Amino acid sequence: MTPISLLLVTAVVVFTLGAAALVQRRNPMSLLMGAELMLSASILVLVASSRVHGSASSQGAALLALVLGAAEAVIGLGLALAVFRNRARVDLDDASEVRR
Amino acid sequence: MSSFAYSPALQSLLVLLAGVLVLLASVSITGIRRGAVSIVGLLIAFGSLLPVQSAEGLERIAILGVSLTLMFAAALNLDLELDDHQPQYLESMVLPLMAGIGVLTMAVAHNLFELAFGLETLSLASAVWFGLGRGERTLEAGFKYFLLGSATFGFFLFGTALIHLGTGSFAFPAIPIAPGARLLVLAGLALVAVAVAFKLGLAPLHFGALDGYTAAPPGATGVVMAFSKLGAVFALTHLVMGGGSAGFSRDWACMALVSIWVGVLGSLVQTDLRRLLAYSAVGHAGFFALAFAAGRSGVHAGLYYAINYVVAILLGFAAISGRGTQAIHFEDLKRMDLSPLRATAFALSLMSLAGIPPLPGFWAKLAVLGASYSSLGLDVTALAALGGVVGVVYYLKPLPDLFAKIRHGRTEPQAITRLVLVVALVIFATFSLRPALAWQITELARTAAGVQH
Amino acid sequence: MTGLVGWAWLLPLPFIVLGLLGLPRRGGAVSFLGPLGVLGLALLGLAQLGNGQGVPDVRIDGFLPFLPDDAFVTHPDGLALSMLALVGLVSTCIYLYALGYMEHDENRHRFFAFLDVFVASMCLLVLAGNLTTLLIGWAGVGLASFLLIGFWWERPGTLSAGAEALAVNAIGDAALLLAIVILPVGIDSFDDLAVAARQGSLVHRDLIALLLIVAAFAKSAQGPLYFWLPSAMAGPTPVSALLHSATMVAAGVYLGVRVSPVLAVSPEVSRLVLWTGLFTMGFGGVMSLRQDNLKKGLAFSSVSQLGMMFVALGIGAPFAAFFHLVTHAAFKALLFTSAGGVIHALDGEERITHMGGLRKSLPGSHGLFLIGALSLIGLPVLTAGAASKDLILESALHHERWLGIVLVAMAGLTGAYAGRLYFATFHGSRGHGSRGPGGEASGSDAGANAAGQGDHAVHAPSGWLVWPLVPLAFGALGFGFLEVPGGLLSRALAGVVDAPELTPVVTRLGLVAGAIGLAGFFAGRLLVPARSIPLPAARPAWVQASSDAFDFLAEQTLALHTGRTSRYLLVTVVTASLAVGFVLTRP
Repeated sequence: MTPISLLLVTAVVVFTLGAAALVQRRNPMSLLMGAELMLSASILVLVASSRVHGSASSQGAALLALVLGAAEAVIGLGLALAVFRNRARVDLDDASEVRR
Repeated sequence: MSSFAYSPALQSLLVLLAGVLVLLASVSITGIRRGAVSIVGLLIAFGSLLPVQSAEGLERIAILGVSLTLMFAAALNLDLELDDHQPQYLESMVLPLMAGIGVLTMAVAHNLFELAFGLETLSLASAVWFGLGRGERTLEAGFKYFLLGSATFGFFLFGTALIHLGTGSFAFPAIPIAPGARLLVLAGLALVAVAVAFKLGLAPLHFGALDGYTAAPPGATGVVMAFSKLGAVFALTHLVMGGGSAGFSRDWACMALVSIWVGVLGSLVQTDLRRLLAYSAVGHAGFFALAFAAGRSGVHAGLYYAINYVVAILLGFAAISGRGTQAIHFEDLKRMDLSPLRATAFALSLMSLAGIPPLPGFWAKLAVLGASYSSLGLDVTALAALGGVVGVVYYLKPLPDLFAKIRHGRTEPQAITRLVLVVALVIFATFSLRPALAWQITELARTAAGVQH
Repeated sequence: MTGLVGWAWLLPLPFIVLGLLGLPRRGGAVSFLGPLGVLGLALLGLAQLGNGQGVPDVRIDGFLPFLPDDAFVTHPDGLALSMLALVGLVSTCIYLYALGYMEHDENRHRFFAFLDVFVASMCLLVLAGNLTTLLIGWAGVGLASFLLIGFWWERPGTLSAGAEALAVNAIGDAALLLAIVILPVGIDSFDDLAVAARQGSLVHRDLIALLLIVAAFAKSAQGPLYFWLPSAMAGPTPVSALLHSATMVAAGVYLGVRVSPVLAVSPEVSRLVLWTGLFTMGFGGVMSLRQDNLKKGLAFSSVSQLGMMFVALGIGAPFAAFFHLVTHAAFKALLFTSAGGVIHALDGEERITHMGGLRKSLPGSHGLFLIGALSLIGLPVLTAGAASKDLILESALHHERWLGIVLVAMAGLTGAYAGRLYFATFHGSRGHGSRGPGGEASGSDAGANAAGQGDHAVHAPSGWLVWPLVPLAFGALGFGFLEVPGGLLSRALAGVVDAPELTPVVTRLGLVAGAIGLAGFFAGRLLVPARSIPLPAARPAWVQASSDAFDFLAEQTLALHTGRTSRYLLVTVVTASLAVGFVLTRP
């Protein structure tokens, strides 16, 4: 296995783990972590790609993606706090008043 | 990445950015009447419209769509400030500006990564804006919208990365022939498409948008609906013009049909007007997708659909703005005491969404069906047309209630909302009577086709 | 001046604005000027045609740049102008009539505004020079119909009736929309369509013909799509008279006449039209015999008569169909409005079992209704209905012998339901049938009961409910002379629709049919219901079934939206994986 395929496989595994967390977990914090995991996998691929193609642009993109991830985390935490502040139990599906 | 060349849309973008900074800076100023902030917002929105003269193609559509939507947002914000005696959060003007920046970025994007940047800006601003409304329902809607948005953004970014790995660039990809790169690019495109479909509100990825549009404050809903559709349409234009959709027309068309019919069925027995509009957004997403499924020849129809849709949506939400975030049931319409102006505007908006000639929504549908017939064939077109007209039944259900009260309406809207409504009505009427005008506006000039393709 | 004819559809629109402003104080008092102007312009145009000069088209090219058929065209040819004159005349009469009928309704302004929307749309539909323009009017009349059926929206059943009409109209609109989309490039007017059809160069000929005819069926309540028309009687009577008998429902026939060259080259579709029309004709007649409600009885009569026009279209006699459309508009509008006079006098009572013996107290309505009924059954020579029906009978006999015989026999059915409604309303005694089932046995008790529930005081009709109908009565008697013996109508339509050779005023076939009709008319007296008829099922089974199916699917769709974010995330992730898997496994 070449290092690049190894990187790609790792990234896919990490990405799948993130997606699985989204499907499996009910705690908003875990969900946010899942989403961040998916972003991290993307960053991994971007860096690997810069290695393959010798281009700096994807490294720059990786840095920017980090920033996007941070912004997302901040906003996500804020919203999650606001939604679940007044609830005794923190379960995603407790907030499902908007339906049908 | 390409050079930082001057473009009119960039100028608009900078105006908006400056606006955001000014508004943020004014947070610390105390004692200032908060309504003034909205006036600043209105002026900024107007300023961002100015470069439209020199723009063409996608940029012109983007500037027009974004600036008009922002003016609408600012005016309604001002109305709320004056009306409620409960000052809104200052951010509620910053956020639409941020969302507008996102959409403009998506329009001028030269590559997938810039597109991702615009998309995320738009998503985050919309989610926060949804969450800012009062009440549990709004918060819940904001959180759902955010969570599903960030999940699909993960897909988008991973897809972008895979495409970069396959092609060595972020440029909007055509599907390559070489086997290794081909798989990477195809997988990447599929993931990117999923994220764009979410933004568009296409079934089965419509859940976040659906619940968001149902429970968010009406003004915010209208603006976010307009922005999301515009953003998704610009993304699709780039992708389709880049050649990334070749060979997948029928698959997109299937999703489009599913979406149209989910929209129809969801609305059929719906009694909450806001939920009805949300489902209608899903159905319309189907028509957008249908246009782009038709390939390059459908892009023009898709853009045309977008501009007409935005006009109708803004008109409708302006008419019911300031009415809280609770569900509006049909019976409530009788008690709402809409003024004649509001009721007329709302009725026209509904009829346009339903696709009744000679309103803009109908012309747009006709354009999309035409494009769909010439590249997708009769079966798809027939199913879409049927879904489109069955919709008439549920859109028009509230009309008698609306008209019944038209004479008794007492609550006149604030002067500024009245102005917005009148302006929106004028644009609406122009697009109704001169469909060719909107068609010319949405034309991608041959030289500027897809801006840079 | 004649250049204005193509813009005639704009005339009713200013009155909408006036109405919105609450002017004049007596709502709609001047609105009749709109249709009157339409009538004037139409006659002006016809006079121009008679002088051998054409009436200029209105043409805006590039109106819809995204369609092959991209122009907005109004094309006032003989067919359009004749129809326009008819619409103008009937609308003017009914506007005046409605002034009386809606006198005490506080929403008169709104009512007349909706009527104006209707008349404007109808005129545009009639004047349209291509399918796209026609579709604007087509959808406009559908919308106006919905709004007017639901005008008394507080009353139970009106909104669902409106929704039914809208749903059926939607089927027609979809068909028309598809027809426009698949129309080949280069055919941007009805004339081009006719030329292409005659030359045999029309691509998708049968499909286009089928779609157009489905649209016509939906608008004209034919075949399985009939059911919305009787329900539409929930609207005010002037609406039933103007939209749902005389003009709007005839739009389907009008479209059929317009595209008759396409039908002519598509034998399969023609056969479909013939059989659907024939079936609907018989079915409508039989259903009319089973109605307790005066307006619904008349509505089924419209269904039946429209069926007859489609029979004419199906056998390739578009001129006869149009001629019957014209006379039918006059006598059916007359029947509805005079029936409305009765209903108004009885404070909204519509059941014929609660009427009877009204010829003395309502002589005006009685006379007008009788004229309409005689024209409907086709009393030879004296009435217009006879002239146009003759033409259809002759064409049918010429086409297939058995068809002619069947149609002549059907005249008896027409006579029977007309007679039944007439005698039940105006002869016999008040409330003759208002005793419930088994009522006769319980003697005096039942009589008191009948007096309690059935007898409304008959108040004298206002002149508004009688005098505006006189022109319609003249039409019901005299419109036949438009064609026989002079051939005026066929000359007006020359070049658009080919007329058969002139028929004499009296034909043997016509006399036979008239005699059978009259016999049926008097036999109808025997069919007057002795007691209240239980209401038949409102909708046919297939409609109910499909409506239930849609409701079920809708419920299922809503049940999918549980509001649970975990479910939503699952669907999103699964969709994404499916998309990737699907893309990668494809060759």
